[in-house]
Amino acid sequence: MTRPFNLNRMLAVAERDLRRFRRNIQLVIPMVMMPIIYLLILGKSMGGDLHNLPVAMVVEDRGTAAAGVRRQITTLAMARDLFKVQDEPEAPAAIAKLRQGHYRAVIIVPNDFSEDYARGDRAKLGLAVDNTDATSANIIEAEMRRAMTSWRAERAPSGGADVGIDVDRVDVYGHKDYMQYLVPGVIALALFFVAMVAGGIILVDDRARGIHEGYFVTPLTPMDLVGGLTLSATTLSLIMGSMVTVSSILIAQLPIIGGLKTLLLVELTILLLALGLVLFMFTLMARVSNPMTPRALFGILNVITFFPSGALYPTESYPGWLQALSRVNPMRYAVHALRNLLLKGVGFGAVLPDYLVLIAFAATMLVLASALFKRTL
Amino acid sequence: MAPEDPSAPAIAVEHLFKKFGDFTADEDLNFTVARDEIFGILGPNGAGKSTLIRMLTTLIKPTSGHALVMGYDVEKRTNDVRNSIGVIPQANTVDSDLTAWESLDIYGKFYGMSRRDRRDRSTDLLQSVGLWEWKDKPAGTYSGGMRRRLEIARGLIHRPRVFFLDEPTTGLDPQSRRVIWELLERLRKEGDLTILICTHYMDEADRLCDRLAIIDHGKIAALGTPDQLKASVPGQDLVVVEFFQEIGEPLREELRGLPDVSDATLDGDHHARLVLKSDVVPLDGILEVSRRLGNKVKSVTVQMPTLDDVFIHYTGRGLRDTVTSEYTRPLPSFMR
Repeated sequence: MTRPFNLNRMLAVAERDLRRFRRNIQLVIPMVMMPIIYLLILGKSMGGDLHNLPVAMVVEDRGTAAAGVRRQITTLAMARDLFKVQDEPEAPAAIAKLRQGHYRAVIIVPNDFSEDYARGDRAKLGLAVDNTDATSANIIEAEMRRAMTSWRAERAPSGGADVGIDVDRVDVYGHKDYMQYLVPGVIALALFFVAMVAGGIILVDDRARGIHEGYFVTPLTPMDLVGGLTLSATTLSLIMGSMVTVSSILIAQLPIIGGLKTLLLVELTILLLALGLVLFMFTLMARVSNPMTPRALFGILNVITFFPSGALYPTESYPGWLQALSRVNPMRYAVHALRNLLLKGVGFGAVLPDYLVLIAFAATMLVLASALFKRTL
Repeated sequence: MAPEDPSAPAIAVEHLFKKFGDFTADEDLNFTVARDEIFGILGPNGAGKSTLIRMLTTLIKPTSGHALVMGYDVEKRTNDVRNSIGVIPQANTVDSDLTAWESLDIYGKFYGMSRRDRRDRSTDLLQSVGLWEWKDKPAGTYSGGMRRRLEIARGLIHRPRVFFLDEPTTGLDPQSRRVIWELLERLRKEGDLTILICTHYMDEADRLCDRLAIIDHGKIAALGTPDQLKASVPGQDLVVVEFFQEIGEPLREELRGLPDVSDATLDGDHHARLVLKSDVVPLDGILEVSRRLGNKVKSVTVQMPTLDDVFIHYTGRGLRDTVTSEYTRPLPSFMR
């Protein structure tokens, strides 16, 4: 009778696995890299200090107090690089620009500000914020309140009167919660998964299974192949992306401000990002023949595309190297466009710059994938 | 597709070389295959058979030399070649996720066939390979023999002029092998199809091929019809004579002395092995000797050389053990 446990047999099983890992060191490396990349990218893309948030200042009042507030804010912007302040002549125009995504906040010094302040009433400073990005909005508000407190403290001894300045926050987009903020990122993530499976894993599996060898003896050209594979993966992305979009809109109870037009633009964004990601996978996997490679790279690719996209936290907080990575990441532009469409209801013009980047990315990847894709074995 | 040259042979190979780094897989190959011929390539593992097929089917480029398929250069006229050929590679390339019907239909589209043509041709082919009953089941559920037959049907969907089969029956049971042989024989009868088949099964080559080339170490060691090749092996016609009583030295000497016999040896106590000078069996002489020495003949067995003998004669007994620079990892089971 065989004993239920034998140390030598057990060690033999373990030995076989360890030998296998040693011979496939290229699969072990990603396992070690993964947590380190997580640490670096997560650590630097979540909760860092924000920098250079574009803020407009509209000074309607010509009095001395208004000039003082203005100086205080300018000094603050110079001392810390949280804001990048720009003067705007009129409040409605400034808020319109905020709605188009040019500004994160508009500081309004109303025309009776100096008068109220001199009279000893509590003077009011208007602060209109783009609350689709709650993190930036809250930080700007807190910083403004702190600045106004310290400014009053400086004036108090000479002025004598115990007057204060109120910061009146106005949320331009009504109430938004963090879940709604996450929706664009979730859609982009869904497209990443489809591209990874359809453009990466299935491509390499089919190559290893000889499906491509079967193709290569037929009159199919490289364009037929790359075009056909792109078409199928993009179609799948469009279907999956739409399903995730509808589900997450329902779960997050997100009102669609722009109606049908917004939904069509969302579909167009999904299409452009899907194209870019699928062709990016084809480029990476153009010469890969080991089916384990795309599986081993899955996690790392996910971390370096998703987290630096601004899906979870504003991109303004990233250090230089992460900014650079983020700037060449198509997901960043798709998340930006989707957030503007779904949370603000902007029109085509506001997302066009993002589209141009997505198109340029997809075109570059198409050229690279076609060049690297081999028609022969 | 450019009009083909009707006088061109199905395959013409001239001074064909293929090198992988320092390793020469195929060296100065020269042969032609006539139209409607079944041509066999025999050789041990690693002899360069698959490399040759891969060059002829445009999968890899020759290092030097020329190869023409239906008159089209495999390097310059790849599209014409691809339209003229059907290929059954050594590796199983059946798409497990598709049904037989879907596989044939999709391949028909690769060749620009009309819907009606695809439907008619798929129906014919699936019936003739015996898969009609299973045409709507995914190929992943098929046995090895069924997959091979599906590949053969798929390779023939566009009515190719030259059909390449790389070890089509390796790993199949005797029933499946027989079915595939019968299928290939039927195709030959229907005509207008040249078949090039790589194999290391001698029975397969003997049964199917009009002519054979034995390849070893990347070179052609012998080329001819199966009968020519057997005849080219010297001194191999053997007769084993079994006697009722023990054979003594005088009997052996008498047998050796027969005019058509070049040598006689004993094989145990009752068997004598006679090596013949020609293919004439000296029955009268054997019986005469038996009568004279009073030892009756129990049986006479004539042993003709088989292709196995031919193969061993031309390629020797050594194993062709080599390692490739990159080791291959088998696929996880769920992907097979």
